[in-house]
Amino acid sequence: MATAGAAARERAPRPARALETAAQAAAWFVAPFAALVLAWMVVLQVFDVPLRVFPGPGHVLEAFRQQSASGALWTHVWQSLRRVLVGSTLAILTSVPLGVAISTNRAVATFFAPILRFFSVLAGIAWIPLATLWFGYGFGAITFIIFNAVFFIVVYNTMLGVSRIPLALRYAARSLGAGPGQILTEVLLPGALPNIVTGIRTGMGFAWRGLIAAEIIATNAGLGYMLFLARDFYRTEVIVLGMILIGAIWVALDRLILAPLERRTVERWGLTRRVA
Amino acid sequence: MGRKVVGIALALLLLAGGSSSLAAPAPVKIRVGIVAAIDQLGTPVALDRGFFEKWGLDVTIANPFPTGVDLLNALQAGEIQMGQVGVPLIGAVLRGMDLVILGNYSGSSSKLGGDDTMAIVSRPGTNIRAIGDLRGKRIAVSFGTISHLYILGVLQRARLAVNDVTLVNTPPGEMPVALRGGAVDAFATWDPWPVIALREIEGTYEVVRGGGFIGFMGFIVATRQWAQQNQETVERFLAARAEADQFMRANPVKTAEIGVRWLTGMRPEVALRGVRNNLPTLDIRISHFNYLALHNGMTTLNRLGFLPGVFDVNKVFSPGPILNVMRRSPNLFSDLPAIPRSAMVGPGYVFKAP
Repeated sequence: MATAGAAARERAPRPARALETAAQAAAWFVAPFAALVLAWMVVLQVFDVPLRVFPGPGHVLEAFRQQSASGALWTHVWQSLRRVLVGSTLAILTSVPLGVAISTNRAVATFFAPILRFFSVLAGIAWIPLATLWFGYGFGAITFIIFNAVFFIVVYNTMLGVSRIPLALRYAARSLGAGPGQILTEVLLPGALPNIVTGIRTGMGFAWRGLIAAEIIATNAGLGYMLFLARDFYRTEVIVLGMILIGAIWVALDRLILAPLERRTVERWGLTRRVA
Repeated sequence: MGRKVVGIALALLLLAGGSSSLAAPAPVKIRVGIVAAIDQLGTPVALDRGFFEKWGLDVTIANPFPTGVDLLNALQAGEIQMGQVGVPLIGAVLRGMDLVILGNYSGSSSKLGGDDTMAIVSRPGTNIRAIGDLRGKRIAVSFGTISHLYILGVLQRARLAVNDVTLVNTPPGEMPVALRGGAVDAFATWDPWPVIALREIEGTYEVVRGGGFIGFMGFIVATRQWAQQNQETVERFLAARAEADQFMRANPVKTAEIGVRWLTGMRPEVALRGVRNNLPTLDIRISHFNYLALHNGMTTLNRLGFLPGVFDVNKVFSPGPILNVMRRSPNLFSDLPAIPRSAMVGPGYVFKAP
């Protein structure tokens, strides 16, 4: 039977097979969440949990309807996304050149390596008290927290990426007459790109966490703010809605942008190739 | 024979001693919660000065909770039996927590006000000298708290719309920093933060202190079930608290000394100034004004979208125990302004929303 099924799949035209594979992947992706929602409903029913302690899926859907109808939800989502986007972009633009400089220049490396190691363990949220002092409340402070969360990880990964490029490649490029600019754009950056993208992906995860923590303290808009304001009024349905949105936006960002970007970069520039 | 008589006498003595200790009522054990704020000192003072002991209670105060929500969660979990809480009570009741208000830790029963623990603080260069000057300014408040209600009351009195100013949501502890850094032109919150800003930031000043812009909400609460089952304990607690309030009104310096021990990191001079600011709000009695304060605060928060609904305030007020204390020990309230006859509550009182 299994053999017959496999044979049928082999006989199926290529687009149909791709569609079937995509549907299967989607089902596997959705199944755990469906199980989670089911367990959520059962637990609430069995233990008769009051809304003050934890909401049901219906309450969360109603909160979603109300918050999106008033427009407040989209303001919070947009504010959070904007901060992540600006903070991460600034961090990437500054961290990649620094990472390359450190890994290609011994003096720069000697100077910066201990500092980087020191700051890389300081969580982004540890900067919140200083950030609010320097940048006031709102966009500046939160963007700085996100910048911090992304910057050190990307610098480290850029260094790692450059250091993994075989020396022979650099020497070969140089012996073929490549100048420093060409070596940078045609050897170092492409060679380090898989690691850089991995760093960006990890850093964005940290940025998202830092963002929520910073929004609790230093602003009056954003998903973190929405979540903690709701706590003061026991609006558990808004809290859970915020948590679901935070997770969903991150999963969407990761699966639709970061993971494909990382995969393609590794395939294009890394040491692995997709089997034909 | 002689030894036998002595032995019997000793045994009788021991028995008598034992029976007398059994007869003396053991103090009732109760665990109480407070939030770390200067207007919550009544309970620590009652403990420190031995008023609870005097009224037959063995009170333990839980480590001060960071917020009213945390305190209410502890109350629901049975970790404490009574607590002092303000605005978070509204959300909890709306979500089915069966609480009763037994008295005020901060507020006023003689007028709609008692907001003396609140202030608006500004810094040089903002040209804010009176509440009318707030137009176009950035003001830090904590959204959804009594400070938010306070600034709305101030704006209403100044005939300003909410859109005439920019309100910046800021935790109270961060407000002096925001003011010093220039992120805001003024902030509105409760003590000790105004006092700390005046002390730490050169040139800062109070634009207004209190002012009766809102009816303050600071309630002594318990779950309805516990309060009904422990009515005598509740009355003893309220009597001890009333005595502590009276002590505080007469002894601000000693109150500040006790406050420094309970509110970690607070400087004595800050505590003293905060205590002095707070003296007019030490009124545990319940009157129509307290019902009105809760009703007004709740409807405002609902109108602003912070609350999903409102409830009838009659269902949470339980004035019976404090009325009994007021009847039995009028001397505990003799130094307070009289409650206007029209605002008095008694058995069968029903609040009617204006």
